[in-house]
Amino acid sequence: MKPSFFSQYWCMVSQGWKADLADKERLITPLLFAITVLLLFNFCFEEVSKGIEGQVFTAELYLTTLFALQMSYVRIFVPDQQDKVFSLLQSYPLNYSAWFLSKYTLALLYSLLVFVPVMLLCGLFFSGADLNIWSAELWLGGLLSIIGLSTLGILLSTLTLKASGREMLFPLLYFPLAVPVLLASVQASLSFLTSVPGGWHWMGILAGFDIIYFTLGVLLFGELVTAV
Amino acid sequence: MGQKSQVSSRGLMAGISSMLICLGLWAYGLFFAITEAHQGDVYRIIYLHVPSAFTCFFCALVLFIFSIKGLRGKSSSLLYGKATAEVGLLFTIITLATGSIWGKPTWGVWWTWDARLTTTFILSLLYCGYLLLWSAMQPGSGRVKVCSILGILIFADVPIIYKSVTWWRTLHQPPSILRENGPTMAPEILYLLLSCSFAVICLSVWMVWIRSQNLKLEENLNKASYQQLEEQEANS
Repeated sequence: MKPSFFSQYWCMVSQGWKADLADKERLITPLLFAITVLLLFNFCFEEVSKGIEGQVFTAELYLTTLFALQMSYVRIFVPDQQDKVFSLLQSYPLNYSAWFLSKYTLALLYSLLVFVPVMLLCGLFFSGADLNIWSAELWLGGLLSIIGLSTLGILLSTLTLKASGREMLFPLLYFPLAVPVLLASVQASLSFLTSVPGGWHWMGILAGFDIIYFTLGVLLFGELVTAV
Repeated sequence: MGQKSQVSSRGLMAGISSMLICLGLWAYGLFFAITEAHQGDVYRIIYLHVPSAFTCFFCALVLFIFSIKGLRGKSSSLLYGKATAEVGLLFTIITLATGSIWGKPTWGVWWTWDARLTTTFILSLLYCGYLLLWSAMQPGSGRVKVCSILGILIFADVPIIYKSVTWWRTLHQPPSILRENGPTMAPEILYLLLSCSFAVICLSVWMVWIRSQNLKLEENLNKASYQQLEEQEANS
């Protein structure tokens, strides 16, 4: 009897999580990289003058997250490539949407593991500024940006799986394609932080791009895993 | 053989015709068209800049169509896709260069981090990414599907480039042709601009066609040389 969609999904999520826990440095490295980038940013900016604190905060937050997540996403299929797990999964009558969603859940989880500490650290570094980092809209904007970036990360990681010079090619594709999500999330967060109207308009654009990327992800992942 | 050479001579004629029409229209725009009241002669660069910009968006649309065909299993569409990405990249570079030349006398700078400029620059990076991915993959059905998917993703980014001038307050002027209350340009300028755009799009179609024929030939030559090598190895 063929297992149900949910049991396939759950099995792949739990196996993926176990495989990643067995190799903890893969989980910790992006976070350490993010903290390093954040420290470098703050060292470079030194004293941020009043009035541009919100802009610097959002720029630091999203750029650090983007750089660190690139490290996570490029290695998302590393556990699958060991012991030919990927080839075996390709040969099983798997539901590709369940496979995509399982990878997506893990990517979302790793992204949150980077985003939440980065946000808290940014809040700590800017504690002298009058910025409300506990605003629900700000966190919602962050969550929506993570949703978009994770889909893109999974798609591009699969896309470049068999490409030569993958580590160089991945950021070349990931950074330009992440721009719509990044721009919308920066603008939305900035407007919530500085209480300038227009934040929900940007949230709408962000949600729109999330939907486009997620739909493309669900539709195209099956094509990609059979092609690579 | 005779039929093939007839087709290619027709293609060549079409290409030369569209190139001559483009050159004629540009020459007319540069030397004979009416002068714009506010910007003066510098405005004439519009006849090169705007058609190039339309063409780089058009190429993204064509790449999207070839990518859909590629996903449906038509492997030859990948060659057309690659040719489209190359032509698209060329016209994106022309758009950026002419925009920069136009920007110096009007804004006072060669480059500014304006939303439209930045997003167009990103489009050129995406075209580069597509071409790099094409080169980084082994030939075969895998490459067809992977590049097709990237072609679809690139097209998803075009709306943000187009809408950037309305979403952000930018130095770049808002849309003056495709707008709700009709074009803001003088009819003489508008008709010439539309004619130039049509001619440049025709030229780009020809360029895509001729480049894809070139790529097909290259592929056949590669196949033939591999076959020859295999035969030599078998004989030895």
